[in-house]
Amino acid sequence: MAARSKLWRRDTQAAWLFLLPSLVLFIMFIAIPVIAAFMISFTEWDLFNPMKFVGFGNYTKLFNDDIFKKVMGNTAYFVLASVPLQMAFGLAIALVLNRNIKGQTFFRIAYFLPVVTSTVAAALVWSWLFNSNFGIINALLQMAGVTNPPKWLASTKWAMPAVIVVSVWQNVGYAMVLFLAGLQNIRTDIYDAAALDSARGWKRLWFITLPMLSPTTFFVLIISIIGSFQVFELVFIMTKAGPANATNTLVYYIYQNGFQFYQMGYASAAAMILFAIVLVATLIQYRMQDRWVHYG
Amino acid sequence: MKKLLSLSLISALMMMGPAHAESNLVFAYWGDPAELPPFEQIVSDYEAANPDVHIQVQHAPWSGYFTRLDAQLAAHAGPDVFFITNVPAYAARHQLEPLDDYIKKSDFPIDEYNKGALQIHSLKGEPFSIPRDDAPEALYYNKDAFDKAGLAYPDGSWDWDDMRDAAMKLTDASNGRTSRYGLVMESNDWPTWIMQNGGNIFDDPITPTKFIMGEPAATEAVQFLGDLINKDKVMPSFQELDQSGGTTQMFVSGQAAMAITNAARLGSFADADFNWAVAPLPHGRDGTRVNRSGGAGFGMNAFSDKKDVAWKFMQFLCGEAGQTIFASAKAAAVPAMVGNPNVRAAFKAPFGDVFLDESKVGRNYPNFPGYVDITNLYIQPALDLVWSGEQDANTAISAIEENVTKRLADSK
Repeated sequence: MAARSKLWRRDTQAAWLFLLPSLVLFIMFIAIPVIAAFMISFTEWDLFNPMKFVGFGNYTKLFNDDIFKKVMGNTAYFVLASVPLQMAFGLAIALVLNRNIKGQTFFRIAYFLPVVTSTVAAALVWSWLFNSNFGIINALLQMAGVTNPPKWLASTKWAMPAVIVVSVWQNVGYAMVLFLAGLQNIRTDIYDAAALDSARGWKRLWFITLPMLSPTTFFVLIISIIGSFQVFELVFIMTKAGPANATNTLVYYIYQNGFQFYQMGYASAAAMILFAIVLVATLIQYRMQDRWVHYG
Repeated sequence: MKKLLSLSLISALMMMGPAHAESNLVFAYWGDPAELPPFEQIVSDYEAANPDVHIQVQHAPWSGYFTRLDAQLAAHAGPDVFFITNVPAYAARHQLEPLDDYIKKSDFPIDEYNKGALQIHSLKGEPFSIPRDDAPEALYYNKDAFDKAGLAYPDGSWDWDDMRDAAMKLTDASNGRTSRYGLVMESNDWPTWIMQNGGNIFDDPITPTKFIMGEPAATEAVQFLGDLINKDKVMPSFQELDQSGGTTQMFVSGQAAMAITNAARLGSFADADFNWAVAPLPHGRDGTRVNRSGGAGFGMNAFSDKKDVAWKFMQFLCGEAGQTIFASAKAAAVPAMVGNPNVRAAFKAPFGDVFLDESKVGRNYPNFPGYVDITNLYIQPALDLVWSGEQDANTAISAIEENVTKRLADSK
């Protein structure tokens, strides 16, 4: 008995030792800042003058802030459009590339390349493609007979779709790689059994592949939603939240308030709201997973 | 043996240390490549005269400069001396060192500077930075393009409509694509046009009490600019201009026949492979001549731990020595130290008289601590709608009146 507990203690010590590096980083760069931001969100603070406690003042101000409402709407628009698109395309590409087609490796690399490309460089190139006067996208549209193509990043209607296109282009490869890994984990004997029951084509996809892939789908969904809520660089480079705040999203608005207007309390309150939204969205996903996620 | 080796190593390391006390100053500025030589010359001249001071330079283009500076200052770090605009906002946040005492202690000739410029480099009458230049705009034009179109060159007699007519004749568009625009201008120059039309943004640029940009004199001017973009299609949208490298790139590459910008471009345009000249800014329809006043200046970081060394460098940088170098540079800056005859004499830039004349009709743009927030949150988004042609100026600006008025009251 005594020997066992000694061994146990030694194991625990070793475990802590291994955890220590990431734990220290987590506490320093995540836990402490999050707690600090939570406390700052109840104050008025410009970084230079002493903090002033204002209770829920920042939160009530946020809920009466027209720009914040617009920002929330923009963020919802971005998430609801980009998450389904990048998942659908990611899955479709993964299904095609999971077969033994010619140039499989080439296509896998080609689709994954945007993920490892610098966001800033990609966003810059895309904004040239979208340029309303000399951009190639409008040149193609005009060749196809569109007489009055959109002004893209200069238009309040089309700026957000343009940002979404770039975001989907950039993230589709990541979803694809995860789906590919999920597909390769599906045991072939299940397919063999299905073949005996003459399940082929769409039936096979719907009744075997998708249910067996659901843990991966669940993971991709959560990662994509969290990632989409935090969109920043694309907006920063492509539109600077313009025109007329049409592409101002939550994280950009937090940045604006914090580091352009030096309203740390207000920015922290908005950050807390982002945190709450992501938390609730993720909790709902976890609750719902019993209904559709099958851990084979 | 081992001990001996390490001992000699330590002593060798000790000998490599500095022979005398050295100061490291960090100096930050922005600028196009053509604008950098005077900064570099000032740094090397100062280092040559003061061997105990080493100046470390942080340079960034205009577009990225303030992102970095703001982050550095927010962390109570950053350069000791830096190039700066929007001085009241930085001063109100206590990021800039107040300069009154330094000026008095060292008898710095502050009276020799342009009064209007000094005003916007101060907060509540106390100077927080020393103005480097006055940055009035002028009209650069491509002479070859004018000759080809058979148009008379612009002169001081032009009003808005003369400029617009010329821009329309100089614009080259076919198949929905514009290969040459008649005109480009800086995206933040719109207040000049409002003032030329007898309007303004606030009742006072430094101590505002009322937002008056909704008055017809102002909205008419904003609409005029919006129409140049969307109706006449003689000017690119500011977003497109930004992507195409700004006024400099558009004018030098021949993609714009006229450019309204400041004297710093004299250097950038020197290599253009066509003939060009500079004319006064067109005046308002009733003959009102207004130009923007006040350029950038140099301030000292309130968190610097070498303020005395920094001020000594600033006296060189901002005083007669530095001003002479800036005034005589190829990418000239209309000097702020206009009361100093040597500086004035050094300003021999081509078309220098045009810029000095424009400097005389300079008026200040809004410059008070809350203005950065108000423009970013309200005015700029409203203007975006006009520049994109989605709303007319009157609708867009009246929609923000209430919010700006509230924000203005809050910022006091």
